[in-house]
Amino acid sequence: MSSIDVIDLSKRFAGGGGIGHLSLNIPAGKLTCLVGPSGSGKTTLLRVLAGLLTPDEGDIRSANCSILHLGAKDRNVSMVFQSPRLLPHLSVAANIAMPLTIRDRDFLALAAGSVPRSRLEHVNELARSLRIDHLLNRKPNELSGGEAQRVSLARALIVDASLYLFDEPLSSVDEQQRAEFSELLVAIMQDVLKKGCPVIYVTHDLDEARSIGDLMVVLMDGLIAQTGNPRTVFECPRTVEVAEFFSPSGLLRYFGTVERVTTDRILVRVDNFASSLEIPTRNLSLNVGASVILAFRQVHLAADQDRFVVGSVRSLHDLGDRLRVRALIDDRVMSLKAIRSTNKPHENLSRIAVQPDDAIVIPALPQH
Amino acid sequence: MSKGAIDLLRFARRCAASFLLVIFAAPVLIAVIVAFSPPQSVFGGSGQLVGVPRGFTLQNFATAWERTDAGHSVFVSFTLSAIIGLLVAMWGMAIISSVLGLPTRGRSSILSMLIAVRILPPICLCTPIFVAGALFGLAPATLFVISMSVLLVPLFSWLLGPAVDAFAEEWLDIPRLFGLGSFGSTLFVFMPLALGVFIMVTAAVAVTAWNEGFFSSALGVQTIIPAIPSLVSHRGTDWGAVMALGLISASPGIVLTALIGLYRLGRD
Repeated sequence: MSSIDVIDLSKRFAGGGGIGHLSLNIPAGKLTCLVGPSGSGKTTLLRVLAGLLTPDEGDIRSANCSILHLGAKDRNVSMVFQSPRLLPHLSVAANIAMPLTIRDRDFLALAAGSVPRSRLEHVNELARSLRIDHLLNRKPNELSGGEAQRVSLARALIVDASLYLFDEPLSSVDEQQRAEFSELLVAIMQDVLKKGCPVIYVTHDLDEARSIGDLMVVLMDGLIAQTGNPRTVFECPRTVEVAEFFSPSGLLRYFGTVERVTTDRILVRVDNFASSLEIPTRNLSLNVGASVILAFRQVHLAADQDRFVVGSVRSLHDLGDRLRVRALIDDRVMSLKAIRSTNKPHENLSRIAVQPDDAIVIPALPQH
Repeated sequence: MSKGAIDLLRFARRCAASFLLVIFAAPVLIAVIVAFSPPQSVFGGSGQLVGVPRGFTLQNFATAWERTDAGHSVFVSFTLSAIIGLLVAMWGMAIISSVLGLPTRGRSSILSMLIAVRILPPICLCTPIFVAGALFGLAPATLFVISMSVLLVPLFSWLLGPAVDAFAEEWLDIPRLFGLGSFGSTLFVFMPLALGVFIMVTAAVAVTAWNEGFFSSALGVQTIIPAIPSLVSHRGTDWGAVMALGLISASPGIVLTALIGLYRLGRD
């Protein structure tokens, strides 16, 4: 098993969308989480990697050899799709065994919808491990969304692939079963990673991507917006777009100028505030005089600090450790859950403030 | 089956639908106008346009009734239409749904199309073909074969449409991922999934064929479509009566559509 190198890969569609000039290393034995807004090209990238789409240009290399000319089968890729897409005329067992039946060229079994005897034990064993052994004789239309997705997982895992692609497998699982399915999925991916395979996991669950991923790739408009350690990408987004993507509740943004740089902190002057903000650098290399954007996630706003006030409280409800606040910020009324940073009774809280330690620093101009 | 082939099939279906719309809509409108206009006021005996419709009459229906034993024909046609409609409504859709797992939209489309097949061919395709053929002295059996042949290709393309639309790309991608080629995908994935539609189309065409042609030959009773040539003579065609007969032949289907539509509305 070796890592996969994506080199300057492009695939554009006539109606728009696709990916453009992506270069990326997908390390073996590591979980690469692919995140991005809908339509950013995540599924397109997976389909090109799997050999289901031919790229317009670029190369895909494994063990220093191009695999672009290989068909889907010869790339030895396995994939779990967004929806299970089990073949409705086959039983669950036959659906799970389908990849092996096709690879064995056992078309009689495929046509009859049966599982070859030599593969029966393998199917049973996998079904037991995914807790779907009681479903083997059922038809897909007799399964719930979660059960069907488990079967599609089994279908992907029945082959020993060199690359595993998981394309939002949780999207077709209903809310009640999602937590259990997610736990199972993570365990399965860990098993696959132990074999040293590269795994790409597309997800909309950013918290999950942050907690389980070894590498995070943020795609936006078909381009890689940022890659790196998930924690770093989340805490130090390089662009406002990435910062906004990781802050679904919203961001407050202020332009500033770097006044002083120390080993681990920078002092930033922002016109909106009376005094400069001292902010952790988080490995960002900035020079004095550089223009920056300071972004604050709404979930990090605090109620009633004396410094760095950005708005006034209109109404407020105590939620225990947080406060539900309607506040006037930058001439807009916003609803947010603010941090309680004082012991004052909540009736007396009147201001909303940012906390410098939570600031996201984004270079306002590209750093050369 | 490759995605290109599926796109081509979808395109063919759209072409077929446009063709059928044009070929069906115009004759339906003409048939309704001519059937309720005074005899020979719109078309002359040899088919030339002689005037614009003026007035309203049921005379054409009375003529058609007297000259073609239409009461008997309507009874036969209605009975057969009822059988077809009930079979489609009660069994056909259940079979298709269970085999294909089609979404509601696909099921509704297929049901509507099967009903349309029952209503539209007699009035829109068979009627003009039978009339035109009779002018050239062709026998009903020959005309029947021609009309069925003309129907089959666009019908198959059209009826397969919902199945193709409901066909997810991943159903082809998954076998491709593991090494099944285009031919294999067509044979082992597409065909089993489309089997229900194939069976239903074949059954619909066979029953229509029986209803409109073979039934009259085998049992010696005259259904409406084969009765049309009796309105054509060497002195000319009574177009008003022909169109009235066409409307009568379509009426059982229209009634059934309305009933099934009400039933479906109640269910949805």
